[in-house]
Amino acid sequence: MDEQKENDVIVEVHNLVKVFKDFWQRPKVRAVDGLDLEIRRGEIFGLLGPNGSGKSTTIKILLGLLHATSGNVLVFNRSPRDVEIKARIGYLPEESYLYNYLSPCETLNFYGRLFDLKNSVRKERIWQLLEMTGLTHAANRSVGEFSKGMARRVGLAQALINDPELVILDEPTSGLDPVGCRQVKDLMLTLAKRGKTIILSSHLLADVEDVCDRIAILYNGSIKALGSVNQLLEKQESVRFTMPSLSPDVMKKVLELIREKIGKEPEVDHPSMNLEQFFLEVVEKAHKATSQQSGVAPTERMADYLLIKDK
Amino acid sequence: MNRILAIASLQIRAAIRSKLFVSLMVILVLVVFGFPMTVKGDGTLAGQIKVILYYTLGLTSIILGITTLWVSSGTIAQEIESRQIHLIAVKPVHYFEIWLGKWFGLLTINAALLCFAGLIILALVHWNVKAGGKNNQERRIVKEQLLAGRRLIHPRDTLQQEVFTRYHNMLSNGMMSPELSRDEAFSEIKKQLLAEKTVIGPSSVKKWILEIPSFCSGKGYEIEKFELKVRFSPVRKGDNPVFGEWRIGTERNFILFKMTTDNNLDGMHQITIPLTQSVMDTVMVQSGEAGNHSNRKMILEYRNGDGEKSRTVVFDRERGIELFIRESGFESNLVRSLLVILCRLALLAALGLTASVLFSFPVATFSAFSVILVSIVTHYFVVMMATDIGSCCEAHSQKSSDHSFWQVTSEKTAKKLDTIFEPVMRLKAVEPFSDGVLVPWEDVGEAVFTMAIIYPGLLGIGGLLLFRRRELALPYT
Repeated sequence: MDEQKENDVIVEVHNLVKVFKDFWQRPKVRAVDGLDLEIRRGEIFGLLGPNGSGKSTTIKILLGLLHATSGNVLVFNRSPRDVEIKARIGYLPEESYLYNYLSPCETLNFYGRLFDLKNSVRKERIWQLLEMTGLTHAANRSVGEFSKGMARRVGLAQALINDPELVILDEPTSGLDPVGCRQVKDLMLTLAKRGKTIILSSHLLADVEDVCDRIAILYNGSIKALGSVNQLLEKQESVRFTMPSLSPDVMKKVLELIREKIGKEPEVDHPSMNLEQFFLEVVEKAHKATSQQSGVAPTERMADYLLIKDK
Repeated sequence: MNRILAIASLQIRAAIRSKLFVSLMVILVLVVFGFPMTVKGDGTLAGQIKVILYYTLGLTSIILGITTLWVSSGTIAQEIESRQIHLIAVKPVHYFEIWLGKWFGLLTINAALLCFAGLIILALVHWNVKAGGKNNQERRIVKEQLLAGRRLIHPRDTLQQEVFTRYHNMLSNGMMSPELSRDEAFSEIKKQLLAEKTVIGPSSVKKWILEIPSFCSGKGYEIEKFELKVRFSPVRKGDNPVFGEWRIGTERNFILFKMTTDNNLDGMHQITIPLTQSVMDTVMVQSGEAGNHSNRKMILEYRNGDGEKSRTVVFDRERGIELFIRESGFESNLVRSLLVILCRLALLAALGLTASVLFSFPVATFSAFSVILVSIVTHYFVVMMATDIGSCCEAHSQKSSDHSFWQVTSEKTAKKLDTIFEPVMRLKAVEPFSDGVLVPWEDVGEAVFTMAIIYPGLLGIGGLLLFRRRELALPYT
């Protein structure tokens, strides 16, 4: 039963409290206040909330970077400060915090060595990740010379070097162009399909809506709403039909019928492509027409080792 | 191990890419080549070489020491402040692996820089000997006395044992003042005995026993490898010269050699007593006959002239009688000295790293430098207390009970603290090396054990216990 529970529940938080204290150990801020949470294997879980709502503090407690004041926190059924479980986690912080004097290749090699990956495995993964993040051509340039978006991609790559079971992403699309944003979202969906668990903290609600299975909205350190995205966003009192364009006669008849039944005028419009889709189409066309580029090379290729489904 | 090596190589890469390594190399070149030019020796080649050896190695040690403490006390602290540590701490890395990785990295950088400095010193010294040694005699003195590792033998020190014996004798004879505590009595007797051992009045005789180490055994010893030096000065200025007779012998054949000296100087005087082949043959053969080759004894005696001919003399406590035996070459001695310095740098790196896991950057640096300052001041305070010869030459009648409470407390605290610092402060590399004195492998071994294993280990364990309790993502870090 316990084993089953471990398999299903990856993160378990009960009545978590975190109080920041001042130099004299006097309570200063109550950043997390009685948080309860369970995150299951294979789901993409979104942590939402305004600034100072306790999202980052919760994430840092899950990573063992902060210690809970009270309450229980279990990751893979063990304390988040247990070094062994860290081999199963990948983390992308809100800023990349990389060493400016290292190249992406050296950066990934360094973090790969911290996971004790074999030399051959490490080398293979590094090139796959560089290709996936579109940084192959900049593999030997210093990270210090990179734009925020490029550094973010290196940060994302280091979070995946160990093929983690749990990926914690804090504002992963911040600084990325729309192509990069779409890639990150696709990556999250692919990883989830392969059985990985993802915790996503973001201010970009559209991103969260696009990829998350469940979300929690935090305010003042506690959860104000928790559930699946569909469940939380669905409006039970209204219905939308999408169909091919109708002839004016048929349209008139349909509207008359609806008007008669609901007693008021229904809203009718033409569905439009969203801006993200439009942008991606334009860039793809431009990319096909150009042979050289100086920034990130758009790629749809996923690192092979990330495609192997977890047992 | 892979994680430790990964962190160590990151540390080395940071030093190279941040230009720290190159800057230090340039500074070392400037110091090693430039500084000896600004300091004049005594006009001889030996003086010049001594200046080069002392200042180049001394300054190298100081520059690398300060840099090591500065860099080490900043390394983890700055990674915590810049939050780069977040990406390491969320990986399966134990805190001790972070600490050890950084420490090994700093050690490797220092080892490389010391090798570099050693090569420059070597080249500089050989070039100076070649260019400045037109006088063959001068060149020979430099090669035999400075560009060598000569084992230094002091007379057998029985002071502690004698203090203990005299204390018990005085106690059993009822000669001990009841006002004195045991420690105070020991201190007074020690001062008295030191005066008796180092101060020789007119018509008095003083004997020293020098034990010749076992490596000199056999017929293969070379007489030119031995040198006996004495240092003394008259207690007061006066018209009389300092006149006395020196004798060398063994326990069985006491007078092998006699020499009178008649010195008309008022300051510290140094003479070399010649050791002839016949004297050394007898010393080496006779004293070893009993079958105990490891216990060869040479007896040295000084008979001061009578009051009309001579004055009271005082022998330097540390360097009064010195027997030098050439044991190794210059290069080997340089390597040993560099190893002792490297061990000291290892300890400084450990101190800095421990400070850096506890405090933020400037506070960590300040704390680490404070510990060094306290250790130096405490050690010299304790050394000064122990070598208070001036006060024991005079009638030292002031009772310890006259000392203020604070004086007694500070002396006791300093002595207690110095028991921590003494094992580190005792091991020297620059001074013996620049005097052509051997830095023995035993000292190197002790330096490795004390300064590169035990002390860093204790600092590391203490620091890590506190590091584990530290929250790395607090808003104010």
